[in-house]
Amino acid sequence: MFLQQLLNGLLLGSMYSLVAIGYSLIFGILNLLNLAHGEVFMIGGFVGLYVAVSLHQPILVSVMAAAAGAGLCGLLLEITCFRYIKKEYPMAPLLATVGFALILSNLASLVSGAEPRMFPMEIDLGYLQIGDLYISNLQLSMFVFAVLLMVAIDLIVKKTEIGRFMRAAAENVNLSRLVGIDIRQVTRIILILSSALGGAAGILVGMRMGKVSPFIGSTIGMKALAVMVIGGLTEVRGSMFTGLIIGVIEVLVVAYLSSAYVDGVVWVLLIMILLFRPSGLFGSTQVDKL
Amino acid sequence: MSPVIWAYVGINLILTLSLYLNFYCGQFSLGVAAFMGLGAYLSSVLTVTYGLNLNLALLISSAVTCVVGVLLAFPALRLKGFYLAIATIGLVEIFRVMFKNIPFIGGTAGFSGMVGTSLPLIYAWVILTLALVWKIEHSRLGWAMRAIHQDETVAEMTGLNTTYLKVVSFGIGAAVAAIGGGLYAHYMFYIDPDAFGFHRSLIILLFLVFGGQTMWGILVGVPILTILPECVPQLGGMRMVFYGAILVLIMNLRPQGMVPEDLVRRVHGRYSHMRGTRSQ
Amino acid sequence: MGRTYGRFVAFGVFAGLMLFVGAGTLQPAFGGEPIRIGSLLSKTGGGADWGKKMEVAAQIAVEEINTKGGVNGCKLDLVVKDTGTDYQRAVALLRDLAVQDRAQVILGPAMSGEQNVVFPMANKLEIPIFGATGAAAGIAAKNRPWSFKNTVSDAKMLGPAIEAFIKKYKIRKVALVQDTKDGWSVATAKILPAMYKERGVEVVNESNPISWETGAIDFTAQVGRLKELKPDGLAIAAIYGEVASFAREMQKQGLNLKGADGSGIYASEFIVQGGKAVEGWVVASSFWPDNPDPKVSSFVKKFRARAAAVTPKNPEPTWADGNTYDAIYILADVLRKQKITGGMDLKASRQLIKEGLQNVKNFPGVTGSTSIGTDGEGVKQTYVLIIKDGRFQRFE
Repeated sequence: MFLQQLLNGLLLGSMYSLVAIGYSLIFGILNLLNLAHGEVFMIGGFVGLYVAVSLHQPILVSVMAAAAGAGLCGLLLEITCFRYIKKEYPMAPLLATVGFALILSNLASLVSGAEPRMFPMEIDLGYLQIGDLYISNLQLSMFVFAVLLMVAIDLIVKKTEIGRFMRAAAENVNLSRLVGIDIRQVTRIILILSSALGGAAGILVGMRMGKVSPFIGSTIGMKALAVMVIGGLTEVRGSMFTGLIIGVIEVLVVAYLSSAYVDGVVWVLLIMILLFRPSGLFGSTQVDKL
Repeated sequence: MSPVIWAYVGINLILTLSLYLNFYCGQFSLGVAAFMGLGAYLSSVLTVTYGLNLNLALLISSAVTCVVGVLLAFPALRLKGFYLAIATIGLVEIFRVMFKNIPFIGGTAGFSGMVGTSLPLIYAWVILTLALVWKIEHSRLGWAMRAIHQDETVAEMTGLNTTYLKVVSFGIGAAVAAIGGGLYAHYMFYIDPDAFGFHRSLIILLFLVFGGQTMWGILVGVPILTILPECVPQLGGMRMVFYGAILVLIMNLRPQGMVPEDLVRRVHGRYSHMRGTRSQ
Repeated sequence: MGRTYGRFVAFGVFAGLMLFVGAGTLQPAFGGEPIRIGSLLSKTGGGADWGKKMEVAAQIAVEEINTKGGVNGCKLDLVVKDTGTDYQRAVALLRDLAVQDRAQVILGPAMSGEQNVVFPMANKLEIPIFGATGAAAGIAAKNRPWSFKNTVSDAKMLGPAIEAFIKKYKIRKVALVQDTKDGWSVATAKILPAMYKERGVEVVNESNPISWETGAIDFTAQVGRLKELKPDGLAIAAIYGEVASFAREMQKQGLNLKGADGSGIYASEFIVQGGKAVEGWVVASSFWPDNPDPKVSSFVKKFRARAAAVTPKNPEPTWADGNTYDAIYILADVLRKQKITGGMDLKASRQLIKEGLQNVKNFPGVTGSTSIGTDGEGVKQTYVLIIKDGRFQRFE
């Protein structure tokens, strides 16, 4: 039973990881906090739902549609919240993303209704059974997807030209500008990429939970933010593994203690990490940027 | 316009001033919702269960919250900027979970039975708070806090006890937030833990930044943002979409806020030349 | 952007805002002197589906009454304000309705959370307030003498449902499952164990219920624990969204347990979200939509037609809508008996309405016979319903 709960935790955690990776890409490289990330995730879920259910497309197409839809939101985000706001006012883009999030979640609620929308049970992918353990194929594929994603992003950042630009921007924005890197372009790409990621996560999580709700963005969003910080802000890998760890801890707390404390768990961990190891579980010591 | 809205404006003014005190000292603490909640529950229990006079209850709960704030300030010293912000969000959520699990104050079912506030009383406290903050700004304490905000290392080098100052700003901010929370509780007649989550802190941050992070800014920004959603009932479901759009628009057009620092300075400059504590 | 240009744009935005302010505070003119019923409903936000549907139910009732000539020669005027499922707004809007709009009585608000805040305020303002929903017990009782509800607490309703449940599924052991965040769930969970034990059923985990918080999204851990406990059924007190997801998770993990619950799950969304996983669940309710009684079937038909335009994904009437319809009729009856008219002195009419509501006895409505007790809470008959073929049907 413990093993099953452990497994449940890993699978829940991969959901946090997927969302947290998006946050860490934006914050780690651009030093920007995007509080609309949770809502972009939610939009991905709705787009994917529509494509899968109303247009009867196979799952893979739905995931790609979700990513595309969310990526579009990312572009809109970039235009409205990050492109024109001067960098001297760090709070302004942050609050603009809060406004954007409000727009997204309320529009979704107007279009789809305030209640969550269900994924029909037939869309589920079935179960794997190893001895006494139940593993949902869907959860398994989410896990695999998250791992593949981490590897892919790692490769992009380390091996491609755009990746080099990203790392340069992370090191020193002004110098990068001097050597001719178009920071605007880098910003745009990162926002679109991480939003697309969030969108894909949105549909996968929606399928796993069986439903998408217009208001789920802030719940998941805040927790994923905490996951990112615990993992070490700039480390994509950190978000990945921390998400899993948090998932396991939460499930164990619910199973063996009480669900009343579950919400507090991630925040207690956050504070402990910030006090005792501020660079995060997987981060290397780095200069404080804000 | 309904008097209820003005009550909210008054309470929001106090809460935003609490946040302002922290930001003034360079501490980006978002813990205002936690201290608000603490003040709300403490003062409510004092008036409902123990029958204390409201103002007395407010003062006591404010003092207790101040002590809690001071204690929490010490670990907070280690954190700066974004890290402090997110740690204090964590604090808010942890307080919220704590409130939910204390049956004495009602837990998830909330706590009620409070009475006793009125618009004049709320504004009396608003004026007191404004006076307090103004006094601090124009005192040596305020000047020292601003020095830390400008550049902490230099401030330390000039001999300022930054630890003491930061702890003080944290504590006073907590005390003010507690007053706001207590007034909120006694106006709403009912509180539950969810009123004091990170959303609350975020909204208050919004007020502060929209206003421009100055006292005048707060006086202008808070009423506008509090009243705004109520002005357009005919929009129905689009109300919040409209609100979000306004936010995005204002942040693009005027990211420095309604009444930012340099605007205040320029206006001051037009009416007097030498200002001892504001010389830069 | 140039400094001056930026300033002009900012001013333009500001001016635009002020125009909106002006437009928003214009009050429409009312002709004649109708009897004004103020209503607080959540038409946007998380409770939007509830609020929108309740508005439809109230409008149907008001129109029917007005077509028959109104009350005491006056038309009924229903003024609905949207709380946005935000109880701070709800309080502000109550003030508006009571003071500016001069409402004689208030209907609503829809959600218990809102009622918690609005009822005390209404009590202070000395305006009678009548809640047609909100299963949380005791809110009216705590705010006497101006608060009333025509809902009945689940403690009384659950008894027959639990008995039917035990008999049908031959239950000998149940597991206690609850939501720890929602007030109604917590209160109901406290009384459930006793109700099962006095009927000879063992509660296997009384001291350690399986639980979650409203808004929880992952139930794998809870279902895992449930599998270990091996009960025959669930003694459950939680809200439809999470219960539906929980039921689906159980089904996914191969667990086929049913539960009996009260108003927390009596929502058409429960079946929409739970699908096959909630077939066979038993519900205690004060409203049976397929009741062949012509009054009920006529209401249900009218409701479905109009709700289809407003909440197309969710047009079936539930107890909330039936209760709202009945609440309007109960109010109309009180208004008639107390000889209230539209132009009457506000204070006097509110006092009379309050007294009238205190004396509601055995009022026949679509939700059966309703009385209002001395504590302001509702007293109604119960129907036991079971989910069969994707609908709430009467338990046979």
